[in-house]
Amino acid sequence: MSDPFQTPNPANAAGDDARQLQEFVRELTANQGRMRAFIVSLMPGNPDVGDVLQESNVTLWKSRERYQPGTNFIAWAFTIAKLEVLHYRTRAKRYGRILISDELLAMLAEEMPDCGENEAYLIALENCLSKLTDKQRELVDARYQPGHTIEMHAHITGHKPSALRVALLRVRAALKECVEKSIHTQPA
Amino acid sequence: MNDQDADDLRFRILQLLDGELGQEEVAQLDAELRNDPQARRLYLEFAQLHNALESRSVSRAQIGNAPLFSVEKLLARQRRNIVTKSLLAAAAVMMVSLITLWLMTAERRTASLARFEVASHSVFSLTHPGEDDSIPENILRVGSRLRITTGAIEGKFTSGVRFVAEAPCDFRVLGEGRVALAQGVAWFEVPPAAIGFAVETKQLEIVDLGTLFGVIAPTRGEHEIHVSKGSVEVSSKTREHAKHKLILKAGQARRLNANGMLVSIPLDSSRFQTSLPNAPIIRNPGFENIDIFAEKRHPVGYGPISAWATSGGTVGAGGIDIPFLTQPAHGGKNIAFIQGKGAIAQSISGFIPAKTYTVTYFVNERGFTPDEKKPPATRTSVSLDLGESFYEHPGLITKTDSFRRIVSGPLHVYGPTANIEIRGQDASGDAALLIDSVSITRSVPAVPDGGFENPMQPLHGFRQAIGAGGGDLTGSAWKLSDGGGITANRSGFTPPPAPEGSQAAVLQDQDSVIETIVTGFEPGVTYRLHLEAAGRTSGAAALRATLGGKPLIFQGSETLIPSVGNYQSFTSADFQAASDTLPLLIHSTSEGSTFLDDLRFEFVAEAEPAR
Repeated sequence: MSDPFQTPNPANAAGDDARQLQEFVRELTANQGRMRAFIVSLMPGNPDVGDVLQESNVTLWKSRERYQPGTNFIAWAFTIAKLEVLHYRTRAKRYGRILISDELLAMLAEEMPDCGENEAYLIALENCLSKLTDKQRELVDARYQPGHTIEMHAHITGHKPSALRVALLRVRAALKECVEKSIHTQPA
Repeated sequence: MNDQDADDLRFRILQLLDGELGQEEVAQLDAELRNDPQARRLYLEFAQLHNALESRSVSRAQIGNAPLFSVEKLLARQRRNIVTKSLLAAAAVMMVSLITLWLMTAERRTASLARFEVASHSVFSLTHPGEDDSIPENILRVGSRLRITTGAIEGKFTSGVRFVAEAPCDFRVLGEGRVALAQGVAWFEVPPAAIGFAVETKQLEIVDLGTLFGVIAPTRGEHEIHVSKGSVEVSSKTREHAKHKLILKAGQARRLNANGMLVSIPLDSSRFQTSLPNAPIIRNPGFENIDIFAEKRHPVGYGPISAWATSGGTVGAGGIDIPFLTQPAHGGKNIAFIQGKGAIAQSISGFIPAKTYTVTYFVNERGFTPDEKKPPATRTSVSLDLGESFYEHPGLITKTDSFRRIVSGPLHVYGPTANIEIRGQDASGDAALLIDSVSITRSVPAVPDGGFENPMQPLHGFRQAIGAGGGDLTGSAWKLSDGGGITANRSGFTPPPAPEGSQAAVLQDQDSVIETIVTGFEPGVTYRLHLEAAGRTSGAAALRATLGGKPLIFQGSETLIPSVGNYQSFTSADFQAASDTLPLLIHSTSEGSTFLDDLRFEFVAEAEPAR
């Protein structure tokens, strides 16, 4: 532990700064998935999640000197991300985007579990996706892969988009159950 | 909460995350989530899944497209692409963690403004500013330039704006709400949330006010705007008329003429594709592209046809200034013509070899010339795949008041690319086959003489099965009974002009019947029946239509009652046929008279074969 009364050694100070910066970058990198999940939950159905995440990253970067290694980075990042979501909502209202209420946003931000998108979750998700039929996987891809849409998939397969949407809802409900079951049955 | 309610909640939560709920539905779910902690927990769990699926797909797309990067290359790209200050700041610590930067910025750099899908066998090139090859190939962002040589693309902006652009096309994304159409034909559907979306051509600037509209921007020639729904603000970009600005409403269209003025033209929505076709695309299908005529134009006003090869006879294309076109074109202002034994042809791609196709086109004949004593007549045929799959229209083509629809029988192809060839068969050299609006779809059953042009009735004459009228019904492809018959334009029934050809069917009073046999339905294929119907000014007869004994539904009802005086388009509800061959029967169920014309089936979709 450093002595606050000791005259700082410039070389040591530079080394501390570098280590602090490294730690900040490591936390920021490691928590991108959690931050994104947090923002998605606060602005459902909104295509601008990437922009808000980026703005949050910018704000965190500008404030990096305030970061103290060992403190709760994700709590700080969530606070910043929530503020960026609120800023975004001010702009989005002008464009008539449909938003959830301020009250619900506050509740969700408070209750967001600190699990986000961790490695175990992603492994479980890949495992569950592998259990889907080809048709079900194609449907998930049609919804989530960049450049694909349900309408285009409907055009290709000759199904009605509405029927595909219902099928997709069922597949995702099944995926959620599968992932949760898989995580809970994994050894600690 | 019972299982059904729980299912309903799950579905609505996922719809919320997909952005598919309306304002009221969001408000209702919002209240439920606020009042129920368990529902909020469920929501957060689904949000987690939704985010993981999105992140996974974005990562896969980036991995699939991203090359290996050097620090220098990435820095150079960032400079070229003018990314945010955060990137430049982050570049300073790039030596600390290049991976961090990549993760921080990847989503922003590849954040798409639009995604698009390409019609099969289309040929296009896509470039992004700074030659950033990390972007998936079907993503558009600011500065992306899409050039389509063959085919069409359908895309959707994140703002909800949907568009279809057809080759040849040069399309640039200038911003989230702005595109430039340097060349081509494009159609846009703009939802209320994206009002203000703008399209620039070299001649026009169009700002959407919530609408459906199409833009035609040839490289040489006059640019057009057609508004199908809502309204747009359109202004001329030529300097001297910079202030010439108009609000166009639904049903209006304008062309910027050589003087820089926005002149009114008829709306023609049929010139735009509103979704990707279920079949290959024919280039220059309405013979409107006459750009190349400037240098090779014939003194009497016709010239070679862009995108089509010609052979034999005298073949060309042109507009109202050519001597052959004595009636308005079916669509647009130009037609192609064939005198003698000639043909027009083009090679097109995108066929599925196992499937069959129908070619539809509109024909007419130029009619009498001063030294002829009888109406000139010609024949026409169409083939695919260098003539190996062939359809010859059974009747003669003579001059009619409106162009006639030719629907080919099923045509086979032997590979993804095939040659389409339309022939004129007149040997005398005097008749001229006029052709317009060629299209190709997956095969549909042809309604035998769906325009009721045979047998030809006397001038202004008619004939009914009960014996009324001076005409004749012998040889009709339809079995007609009681007050069922065929009428020419301007007959004693005073029918409105037939929309297809010069004749229409008439069903007078209750229990008149017209019936024909339709063959060529395929299992698992969904169809619709289209028809044009008008009531006599003295009163319309209600109609019922059945196919194979099953009623066809029009506007939610088994009974079809057209308005009087003018033809009205009717489209049946989707159906699948129980058999390859079925009787199509239409009978009147009330007093009055109704005219019918231009009956034709449409291919809607084919069910995916079971695995």
